[in-house]
Amino acid sequence: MTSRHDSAPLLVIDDLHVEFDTGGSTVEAVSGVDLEIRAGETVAVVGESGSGKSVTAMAVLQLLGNGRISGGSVTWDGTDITHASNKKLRSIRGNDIAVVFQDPMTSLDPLYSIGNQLSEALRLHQRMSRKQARERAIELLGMVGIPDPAHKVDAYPHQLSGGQRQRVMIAGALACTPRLMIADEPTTALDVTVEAQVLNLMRDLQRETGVALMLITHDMGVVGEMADRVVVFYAGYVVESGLADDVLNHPQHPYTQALLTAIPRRDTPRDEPMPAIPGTVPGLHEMPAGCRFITRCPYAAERCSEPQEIVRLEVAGKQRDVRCWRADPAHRTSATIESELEVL
Amino acid sequence: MTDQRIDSPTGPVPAGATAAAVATAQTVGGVAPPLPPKRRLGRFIKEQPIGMVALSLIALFVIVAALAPWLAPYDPLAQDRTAIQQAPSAAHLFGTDDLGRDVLSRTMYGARTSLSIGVCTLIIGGLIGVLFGIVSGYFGGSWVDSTIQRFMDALMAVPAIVLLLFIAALLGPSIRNTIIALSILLVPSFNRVARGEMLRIRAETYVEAARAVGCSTPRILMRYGLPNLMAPLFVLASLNFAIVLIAESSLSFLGIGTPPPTPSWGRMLSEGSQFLEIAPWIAFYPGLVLSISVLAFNLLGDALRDFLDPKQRR
Repeated sequence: MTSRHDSAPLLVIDDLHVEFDTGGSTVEAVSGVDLEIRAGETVAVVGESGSGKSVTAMAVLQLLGNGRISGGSVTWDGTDITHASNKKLRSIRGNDIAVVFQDPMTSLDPLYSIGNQLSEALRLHQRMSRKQARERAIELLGMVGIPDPAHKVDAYPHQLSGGQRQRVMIAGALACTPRLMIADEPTTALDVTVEAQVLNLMRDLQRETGVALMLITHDMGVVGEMADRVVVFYAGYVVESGLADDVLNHPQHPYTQALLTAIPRRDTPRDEPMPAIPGTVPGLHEMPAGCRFITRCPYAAERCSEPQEIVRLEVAGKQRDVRCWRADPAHRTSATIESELEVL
Repeated sequence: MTDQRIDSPTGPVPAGATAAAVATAQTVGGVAPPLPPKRRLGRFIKEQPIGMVALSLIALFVIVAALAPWLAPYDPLAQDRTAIQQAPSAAHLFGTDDLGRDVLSRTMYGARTSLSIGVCTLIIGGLIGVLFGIVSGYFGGSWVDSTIQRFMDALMAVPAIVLLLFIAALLGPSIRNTIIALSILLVPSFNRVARGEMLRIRAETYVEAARAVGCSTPRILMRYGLPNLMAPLFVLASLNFAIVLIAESSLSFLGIGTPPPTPSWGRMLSEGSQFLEIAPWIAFYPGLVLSISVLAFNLLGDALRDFLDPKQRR
């Protein structure tokens, strides 16, 4: 898989903070996220539930409900859209940036035929007539591998299976040939064989249309299959990011390391408890001031209670960001030296 | 509800469909081709016989009301001094009132008044109530919602009859003012139902998906909100129709609804009540028709509720 590191970034998220009102008080769900996506690349965003990965993605389009961006900026194609008008945002949504949601069973309105719903973006953004939109909808259904699209265009959501509905959602996302597709755990609600089909489909379509993909997932297997780069979230910020293969093979941050160790393998002993990270993510109201992983980190030390900055490493010419002071070559300890030796 | 299927010939798959993508199309479970247009009415008849009887009665009343000028044997306003307070007979099936007017003809024309007031009221009160309801529900929890809901609370806090008397007395008795007063009476109930449904709908993923596609708020309300909350509104409308019929009659009975000499069921009841002992038919027939139509609308409402509630089937 080729990475496209030389092209200008399509989407730049810089020090993003997102707040939510929760009955009187506010909580910060995302605190200082940096993320870049270049044209045509696949960036996987991984992390536990509540780590802020979906919120970050939705903040790009400002689909935050009662939340709001409280700091930082989102730049789309060179333009700062952090404070863009509703009208401007609407012209980007579905047109330049499309979203595929997690649960295909509820993402389609049961009252309209799928053709009708596929036409929505086309009629909104490209001012197509009903007839043109219908033609295009049939074409899109064929593209995502729905058999007999000329008939299926009139089907209602309840007449389709989960996998087919997710294909329809993907078709809808691609309707206006967007440049970025945000897929928020697109296969979580599907069973494993259908998951593989849908992921294959997304990869094929990406190759054909050149759309960049922001793939939110918590499945490390999916990351390895799909991603050029990976961004690891923990408790509302990024703890590690870099090329997917590098991060998966040589994780630098203790959280990433623990996460990868927790994946059951064929040789994982069956009679022992599954490897897991002890403890739970701290609640949004009780976030530690320093490293947020401190409560669960096996290497926790005094220095970890100070706020952690991103350490930018160049490993074999490839950039790697790690939010842990141990990763800094100036402060290496036995734990990090070991893993770095592996890299080199 | 209109069926949006477009019957078009099955064209060939457009050549634009890319081979690579189609290759991944290992079918995900065979799914039957789209069903033919739903035969909703047919299913309603089969599943809700009582509702069907109610619907037929209502249809009968509507037809009689619409065709009253041709069906009525006499002019409802014509006074016949030679036939005052006559008991029902072949010449006057429902008898005559104290001015010698034919009660049957007046009841038929009264249906026109009562039903058209009911329809106008439902449309006006329903539109206002639903509009504020979906806006309120969509922005549920915000100041917009609170403002609208406190206003509705205030309307509901006043007893209906007091509210009606106040508005009718303020505006004076006329059909138009009766419609205004009754519409205001209906606004809160439509508002509450629409708001509750919209609160549910706005949390649906398809609404989020619509926003993500670039739909504006008005478009979401009209295209995704409204159609999805129509079912309970139909039920409410038919129950409300019964309420309006009674309220209109009450107003007319009290002399502040439909002004004389226009026949309306409530006014006829009011006029006939003075002669209950000597000529009971003057009040009896309009009262009977009023009761039957109120019952019919209530039964229809119940039947619709059962029919449209997906939990009651399958």
